[in-house]
Amino acid sequence: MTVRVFGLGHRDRGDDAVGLLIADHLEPRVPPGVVVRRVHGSLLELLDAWHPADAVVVVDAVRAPAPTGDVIRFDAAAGPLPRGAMGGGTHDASLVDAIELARVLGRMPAHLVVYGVVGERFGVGDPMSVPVRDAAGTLTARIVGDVAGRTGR
Amino acid sequence: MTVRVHDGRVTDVQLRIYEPPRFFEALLRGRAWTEPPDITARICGICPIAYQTSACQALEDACGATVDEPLQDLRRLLYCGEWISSHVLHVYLLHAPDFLGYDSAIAMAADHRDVVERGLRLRKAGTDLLTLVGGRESHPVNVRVGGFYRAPTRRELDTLRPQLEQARHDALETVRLVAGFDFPDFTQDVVLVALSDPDRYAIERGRLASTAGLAAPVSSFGEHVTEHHVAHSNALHADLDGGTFAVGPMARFALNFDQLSPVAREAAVLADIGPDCRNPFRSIVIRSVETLYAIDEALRLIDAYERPERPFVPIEPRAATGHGATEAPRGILYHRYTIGDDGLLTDGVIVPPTSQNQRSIEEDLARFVQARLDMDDDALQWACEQAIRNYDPCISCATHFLDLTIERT
Repeated sequence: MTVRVFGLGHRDRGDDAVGLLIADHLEPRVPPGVVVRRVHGSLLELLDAWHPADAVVVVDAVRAPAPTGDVIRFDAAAGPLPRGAMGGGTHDASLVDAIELARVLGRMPAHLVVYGVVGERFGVGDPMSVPVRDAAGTLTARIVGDVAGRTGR
Repeated sequence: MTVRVHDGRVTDVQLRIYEPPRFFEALLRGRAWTEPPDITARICGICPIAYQTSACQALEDACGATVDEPLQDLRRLLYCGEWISSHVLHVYLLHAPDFLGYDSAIAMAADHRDVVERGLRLRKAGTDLLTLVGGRESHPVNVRVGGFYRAPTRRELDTLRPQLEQARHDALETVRLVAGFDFPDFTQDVVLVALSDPDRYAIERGRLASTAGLAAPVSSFGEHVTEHHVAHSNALHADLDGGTFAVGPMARFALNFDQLSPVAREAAVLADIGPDCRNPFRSIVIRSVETLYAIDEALRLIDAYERPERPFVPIEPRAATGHGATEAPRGILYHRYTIGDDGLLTDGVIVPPTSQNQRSIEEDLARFVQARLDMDDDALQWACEQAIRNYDPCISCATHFLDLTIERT
């Protein structure tokens, strides 16, 4: 089983960069063999980037009626994500679309956990908000623990 | 979308686009003459190569520079990647579900798994080409005024060949699939405008041509095409010499059909579609034929490829105005820039295909709705979304975007 972690987002859009920031933090901290990737383009690429036997973690920012910096965990392998749970792209498939398409096509990984970090600033050039930056540190440690649980290292 | 109906006659259709203006033209003023390819690529996540290529062309025109032919070919190859990925996204994930009666590609995949898998495979052939030549799939980083930062090696391009050969087969299957859809009986009677090139099916360069006999250099675009603000929408509307016109696949087919490669022409014949097509609902067939063409053309360009001696032509800026236009997947994308004495831009004008088609979309909708006033509002809304998606405008990316209001008096 390969463990893959995907950080999603846009560096120049405030809290939307949190998935990429967590990928930056994780890369030096995970054991060899664990794949950490940053995804800037089409989320349909995820269907080719993971494999049926993988354990996958996806991290992205979300808008949600919850305090900024809260972390929402979805076990996407257990069932469909709520529609609109992770927002949507304006030009391509949203994360929910990509996951549900994978499910219909039988291209889901064995384990798929999605972490959404609740953000408040998504404008071009916005700085990342303090609660989201703090959450990035906490969530990084949590994912390091998840990965250790999967790999035994 | 607001439709006004009086005594059973559609008197007005307004498609209100609320997305606010982004002021790209204004923010380009005062920037260095080398920056538009990277800045304008951000206008669209689906067709950044169109923006980069039109921008490069306009700036090279302003500077009086000519780009080496092998670099022009490399641009065309990169552009083929964008046509493949954009057309396939539209055909498989946005428009085919309309024709097959599904809410979305996800719903369609449950019953047509092989079809959707083929679409994903085809799209990946396009995005892998974009990534290899452009540096990355989304907002590629390898394009610069005068050419590229780095030209790929022959060996790198050869790695794409098996995937593109499979894609050519998949694209032919796509033409067969969409040719079998049921199309509403509907024809459009507007002037069609596309770029035209005596040497090849126009993609990355050409002259203006129309079904009404226009034949003019790209520098005259502003003399013929005028953008207008309209009260009901934030999207600009354009006219051609005062009249309605349309750009996009149907226009390209009408004006350049004979320049398709033999395999693409044969596929068109099998699909019973040719340059006389005026039913915008059949644009999905044309996009599929163009996908096949782009794959075939990419393979031809890779076969003929020799790594250019230099990845870009050195260019010195000068105070001048330049024009550029290319065939984005949705139609002509025009750029004009003026460079000042200090090498900074004093002016920039960008006319995307979606604004050129706005008037035509509204006129189509008026006639389309008129013939379907007996439908209930939900069914009519769905049908109108499908009609708007014929143009593959950026607004069509959301599957269910339309809020239809019918005011009957």
